[in-house]
Amino acid sequence: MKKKKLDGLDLTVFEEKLDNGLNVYIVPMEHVKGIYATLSVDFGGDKETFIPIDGKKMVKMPRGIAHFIEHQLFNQKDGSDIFAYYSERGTSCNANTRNNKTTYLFSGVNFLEDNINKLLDFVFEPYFTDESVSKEKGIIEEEIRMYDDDPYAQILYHSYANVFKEHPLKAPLIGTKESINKISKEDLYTTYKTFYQPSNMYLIVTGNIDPKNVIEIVKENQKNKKFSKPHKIVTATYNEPDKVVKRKEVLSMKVSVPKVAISFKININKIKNIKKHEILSYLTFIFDTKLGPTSLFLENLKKDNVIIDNFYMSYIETDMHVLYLIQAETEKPQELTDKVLKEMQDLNITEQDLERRRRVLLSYQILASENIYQVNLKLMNNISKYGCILYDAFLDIKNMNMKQFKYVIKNISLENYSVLTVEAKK
Amino acid sequence: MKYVKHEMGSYNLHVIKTDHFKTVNMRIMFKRKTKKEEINYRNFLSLILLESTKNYPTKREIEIKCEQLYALSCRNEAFISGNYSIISFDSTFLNEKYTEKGLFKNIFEFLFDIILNPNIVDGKFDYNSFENVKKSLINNIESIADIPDYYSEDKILEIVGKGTPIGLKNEGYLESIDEVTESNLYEYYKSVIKSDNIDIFIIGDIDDEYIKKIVSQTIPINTLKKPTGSHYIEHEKIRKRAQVIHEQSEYKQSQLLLCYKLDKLTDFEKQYVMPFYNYILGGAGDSKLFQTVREKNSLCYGIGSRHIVIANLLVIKAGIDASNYKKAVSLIRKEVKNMEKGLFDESDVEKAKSVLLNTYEELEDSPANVISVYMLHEYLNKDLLDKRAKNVEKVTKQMIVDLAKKIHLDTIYFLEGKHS
Repeated sequence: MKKKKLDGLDLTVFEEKLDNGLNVYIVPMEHVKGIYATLSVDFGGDKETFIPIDGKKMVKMPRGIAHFIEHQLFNQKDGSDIFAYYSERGTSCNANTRNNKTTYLFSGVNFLEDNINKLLDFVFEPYFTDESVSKEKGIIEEEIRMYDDDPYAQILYHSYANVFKEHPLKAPLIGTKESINKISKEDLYTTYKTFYQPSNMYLIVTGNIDPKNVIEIVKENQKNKKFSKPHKIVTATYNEPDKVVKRKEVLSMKVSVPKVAISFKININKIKNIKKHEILSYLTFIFDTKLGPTSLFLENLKKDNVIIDNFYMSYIETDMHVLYLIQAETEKPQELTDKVLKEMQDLNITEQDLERRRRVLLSYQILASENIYQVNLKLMNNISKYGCILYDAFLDIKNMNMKQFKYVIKNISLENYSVLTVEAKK
Repeated sequence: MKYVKHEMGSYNLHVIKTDHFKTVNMRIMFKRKTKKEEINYRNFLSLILLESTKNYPTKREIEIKCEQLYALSCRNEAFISGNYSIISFDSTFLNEKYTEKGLFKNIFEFLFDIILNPNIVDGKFDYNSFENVKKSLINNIESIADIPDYYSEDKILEIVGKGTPIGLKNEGYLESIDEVTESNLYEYYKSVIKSDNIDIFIIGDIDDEYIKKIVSQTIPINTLKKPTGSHYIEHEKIRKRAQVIHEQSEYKQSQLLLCYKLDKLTDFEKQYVMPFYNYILGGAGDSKLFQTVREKNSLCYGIGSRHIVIANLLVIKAGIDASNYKKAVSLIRKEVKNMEKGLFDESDVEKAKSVLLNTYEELEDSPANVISVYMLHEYLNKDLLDKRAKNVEKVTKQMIVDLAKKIHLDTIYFLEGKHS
């Protein structure tokens, strides 16, 4: 087991790659009682077009298959109930699907051995039947309808669709009623077998644990399982242009206050010699400083009755692009949009701003290292986005400087944007 | 963890000293009897204090100061807790070990400045701050209807709780929002500081005497306050036949809610037996409702039950297709009936027990949760964790069946979406 400190956070990560390829990361934490374990597969909504393990040709699976598998893995051959198994041990269990990973998890205080074994068993022992697949469709159809009525989910779907031409993000990860109804038991097995192999997965355990004990349990469990030889997974690549698909869309929904969502599609591949997570830190810094709660710009928008509350800002990345999404509620969508676009033309920022930013980012690192969930999530994000743990994240923040910042803004363009307006349906 | 309560006459100071966390968390709570006409005022107040102070006259300056204080975070909230209404002021900041010596002093000065030194100009709250808050509040009230989930829950509580604090809206009332002005809000602020019951909870690696000294020097309040009564709402009327209310909507999905009144539960039942009942019926993925309505009949994605402790209510909620209304209602009612008939296993009771015990243990991992444990002890007389663990062990299947007989369906509310 390799052992390495997370810089500045009083935490140590124990890392080991098992013979079958499964990557295990363990972070023992002092003073906590809980244990949180996540088993993730490097497969989410972005990789639904691929060459199957036993095939030669690229196959495009129906949209939503990654999420469908996540639901169906809870189906057990002996008819037992995973949730009940965990409840009996006072533990809770769940799963989620993202564009770049699917995660199965539990959190609890006791029965560590049982809990880990169950996690490694149910994820590695699929049982899909025509009947279970057909039942799942009804459930997921209702899940889709739930998002249909949620304006915030709709804003995301439409914004992504307006920005991405080729990349899978252009369609909702959950799929549509039509696409999920095309999914068959065979599709599920083909997809499962291609991606759910130990070498394409990682287990992260954080909390009140002894790393040696955890690794022994995991090894013992995996020893008894048969896996096919690790193979290289080939998934479709997308030649995504820098230009957005649609500059503008107006949506009419049942909302009380109109909303605006401005998407900036930024190609970050032209920036060399700066780590990707640092580029993202700089980009977030720009948006926060220009439009965030400490900006004069926002203060004036509020004073002029253009905006009600703060902007809600988020981003999502692909290999090539970062999409920054700026959302706001406003009675004056056009004025707001014009002002934001104008404000983002001048990216001058002072040394003072950067100094304050560094302090905030360092503080966030520490704040997010206090509980088992956030530490686990941090590692998960590191691995799913960068393929490894960023042990020096703390130092990287300390080293942020004006020279790099200027280099970053010189090499990005904010010209590729798309504006979505949500009008109130009368 | 070491807990000390200082009764200072005009307020209580609760200090929980522990070196388990990298942060210090403080919660200051103001409470008084719930009155409909004061809800808007309290909502205004909770927001406006974080909007500006005399020393930091804009929100922007407050935000900059928070960043300088190592990402200090402050959150304010006003809410109804049964017969009482609470304004809660929460803050989280890093320990000096991770920042710099002297940080605490600066932070406490700033936090108390926010509460005790508002931006008053000529006997009124500052105009800009007031207007910003007003817009936010109007937006909060109006946007409830944007999400069917929130809207339907708001609606059923309004129907069931008519004439009691349960039926009042946390987010406030549009029709009376103009009654609040910069100057009468200042009068209201003064009365809150003077006469609300105040409790200050603080948890972290912090010296008890140090914090006591700082707080007593800073808080100039010295009116003696009387202890308050019970937060719980007891029901006066129990329906023999449930009422059914249908409402049409433009949504694609329909929301089905069933609200049950809990009649004269004992303290033990409220605190210990009801969590078992709720867990078994609809509290998790292996609950009766989830298994029957979702897994066996694929009628929904989300279904669950929620015990609203203060209001003595149980609310069951499911998002379904409109065409499945009858089937869903009958399946749900049957599961509830089964609880009364004792048609569940000892193993269900054991499962609920392990989950509850586990939850109690995990509470100690989060500073905010630890504060809540002491707060609930103070306000609702809920037991502390050691006692809770002992009492959970005493719960039996028979107790759950007896409790089930005190649960009465009051209202079925159906927010009907378009048929698919």
